[in-house]
Amino acid sequence: MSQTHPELIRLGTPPGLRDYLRSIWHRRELATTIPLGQMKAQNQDTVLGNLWHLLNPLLLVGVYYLVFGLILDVGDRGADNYVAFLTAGLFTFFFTRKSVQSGAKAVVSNLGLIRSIKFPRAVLPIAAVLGEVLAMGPAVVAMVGVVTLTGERPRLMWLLIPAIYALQAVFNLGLAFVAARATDHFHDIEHVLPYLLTIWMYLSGVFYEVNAYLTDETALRLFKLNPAYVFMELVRGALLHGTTDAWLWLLASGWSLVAVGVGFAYFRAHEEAYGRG
Amino acid sequence: MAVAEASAAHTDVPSGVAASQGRLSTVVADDVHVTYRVYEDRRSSLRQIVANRFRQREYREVAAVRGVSFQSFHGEAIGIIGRNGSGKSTLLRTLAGLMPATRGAVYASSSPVLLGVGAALHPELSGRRNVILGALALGMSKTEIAQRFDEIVDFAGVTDHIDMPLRTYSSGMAARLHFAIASAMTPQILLIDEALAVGDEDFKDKSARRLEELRSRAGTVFIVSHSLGALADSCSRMLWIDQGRVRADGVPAQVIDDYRRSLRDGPKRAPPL
Repeated sequence: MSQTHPELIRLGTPPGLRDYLRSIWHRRELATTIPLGQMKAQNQDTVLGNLWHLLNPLLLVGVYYLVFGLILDVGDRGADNYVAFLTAGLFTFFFTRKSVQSGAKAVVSNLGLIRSIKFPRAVLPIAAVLGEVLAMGPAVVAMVGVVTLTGERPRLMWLLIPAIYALQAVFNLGLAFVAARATDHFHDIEHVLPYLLTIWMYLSGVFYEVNAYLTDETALRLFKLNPAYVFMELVRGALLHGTTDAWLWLLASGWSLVAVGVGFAYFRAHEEAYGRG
Repeated sequence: MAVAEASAAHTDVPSGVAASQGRLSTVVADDVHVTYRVYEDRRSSLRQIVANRFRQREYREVAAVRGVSFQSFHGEAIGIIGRNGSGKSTLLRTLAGLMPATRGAVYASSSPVLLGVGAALHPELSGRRNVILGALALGMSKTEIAQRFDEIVDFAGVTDHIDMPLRTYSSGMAARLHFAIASAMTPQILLIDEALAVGDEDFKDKSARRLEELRSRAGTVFIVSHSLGALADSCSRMLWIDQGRVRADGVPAQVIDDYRRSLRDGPKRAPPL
């Protein structure tokens, strides 16, 4: 007789970690479908469409080269191929920058979905970062193209670049989780974010070779712990010098694990409350 | 009594509740209370925020649902009626797992699917992408969706507009599409909030048939509505919610009669928030 009545599950209790992860895995097709739709919607009213994903960073390289390379002459100090140095830095920093910004919109731009359907909300920041990973593919090709045009010759070390960006994607996901929940609390954050990210960019040595500018030992050591700097150095090493550094990999892995662990926990703690203002 | 014990051991449902008279229960609500916060509309000025030392904005607590208990069984279509502000919609959202119960608990045999009115999933995206996103979020797989896509679109009657952004749809079209998505995966428990009111006659017939189908597949359907006539036709049981409590639970005709009488007699409105 006991087989005839179904087991009843208590609703509204937050699932355990394992069940939560399983439910995210179950929705993996949702995570890959959302970014494709967003890309479609984003640039559908522009003539060049998704080409803008590539043109934006390339144009920025041009602007920054004009300001820092030609007018301020930053390139003279420490960076022998300044355009390549700048390109590698900008594309790498923008990977994180765009992931954070997409993450910030992940929850607030999907309120319709959240309010009508019960699904693990963590899918949304994951989808946001997946979208940036997809956009990163052609961006890397463009970056390598620019670097080749400036006279660098292909190296075996270039094969490391996808691995670096894979690790950086994990780091980005952690930040995206934090940005997604924080923006759900205070929508104002979306307005503050560009400034924070710009300050971070200036502090990360996108435009300058820090060794030529910072002389204080302690300050330099602190500067080099900055995760954005770590990822840029890994890319520059592989792309421009054909070198890589175990310490940088260790730092990058550490930052990524901490970011994704803390970010995920912070995001999940709010799971039941997304979309209820 | 062995049955009740087995169920209690498995799921800590109050004993004796999970099965009664051999019928299979789908949802058990056990003394459900839902209280939520409503923030005051008035935005504080910067000066006030500083004066308040950054304390949170003012809010009120609204006790929308105050102790609702019931049990539903396979094959039932349950209408939920009550005045505006009586807590019907909040109850439905709690049954859907979208709003946690402050006290008490809801047990269900599977995850209920809520179908609310006007819940545009993604206004900027095409109907096609909305169908795919909605169905994926509900837990369908891409192959399942591919198989059932035409049927969903056809049912909603939006074939000609399927590649247009959802924001260009009329409210009726959007509601039809939403209904088609939500009912496509034939959930065991479907919760409907006023969605039937927006369609035209033809669609009302179609959706009534779809509901009949769901019920016959041993599912349970809950419908919140103010159109008593339609509810009387399509429901097998009626819950009357008044001020967050169950005022009556029984045969539709009887409950509707009582409800109508109370509407006539007492012009008493639901208490203000």
